[in-house]
Amino acid sequence: MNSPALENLIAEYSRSHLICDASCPLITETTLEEEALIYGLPHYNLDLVFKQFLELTAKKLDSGSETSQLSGGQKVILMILLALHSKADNIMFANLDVSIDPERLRQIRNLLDQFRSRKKEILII
Amino acid sequence: MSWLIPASSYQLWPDFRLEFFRDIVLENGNCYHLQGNNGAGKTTFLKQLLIPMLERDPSRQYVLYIEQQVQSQLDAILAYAALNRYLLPIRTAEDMLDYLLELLHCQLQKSTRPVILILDESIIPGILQKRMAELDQSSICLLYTSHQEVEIAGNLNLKQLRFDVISPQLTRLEA
Repeated sequence: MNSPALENLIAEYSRSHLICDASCPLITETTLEEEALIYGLPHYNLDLVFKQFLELTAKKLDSGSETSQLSGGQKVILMILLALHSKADNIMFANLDVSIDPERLRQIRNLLDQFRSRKKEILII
Repeated sequence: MSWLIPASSYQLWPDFRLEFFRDIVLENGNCYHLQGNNGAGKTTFLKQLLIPMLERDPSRQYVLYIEQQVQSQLDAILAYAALNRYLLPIRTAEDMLDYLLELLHCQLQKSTRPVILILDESIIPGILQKRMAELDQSSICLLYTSHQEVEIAGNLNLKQLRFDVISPQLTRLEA
């Protein structure tokens, strides 16, 4: 999906950063609980993810919700929230502006700013 | 040639309905920009309503659909290209669109039919401009979703299909 230049950049940072590419946002095709397991999220963090997801999308989720119920943009928003609430210190997000509408993108950028003090580095490419 | 989707209230998922009060008529020579926020139902409209309608009479037109978040489609196209001994590398969505539009061009030379080209957040202006110049644009109906302003190639008439979210369970489509 990505251009060779972007692929090179992702390869360069893949050892130090959690890479989250919006062109391929989710890893599983089952329930959100399964997806969250991959990010190593404890339950209280997952509840926070659901709360913020509801604020951003007006869609209510729980652990048993299926990822197939989500639109393309909602999958990307979920990916961002799971990454932010994970233990990863360094995160690189790619292609966010393709899938997210301008209003949601503004809200996401505000959210990323809030998390910058808790993480070592958040990159957007 | 045109394709009509009757005005109605469509229950497209158990918890999602799409309604429009006037018939949607898609025509050759036009380019339709599907606009709406995340979760408004743009992809659902394409996958649950438009494409199944087109599949009821597949000999009537060619349909080329490039999915949103195309990784699985890219894998399938790679396999198809390998089986058909395509020599150029396909690494990106751009390469994939180029390859598919080339196949379409070859197919149209053998048998002319109207074309519905659907690009779901996968519009790539450079490739599209290059390949559209080779095609008879009066036979093409292009639909695309994008959150960004993109320049569409050729002489297609630009129209808008706006998806207004009334509630998470209901979207209203305005043509």
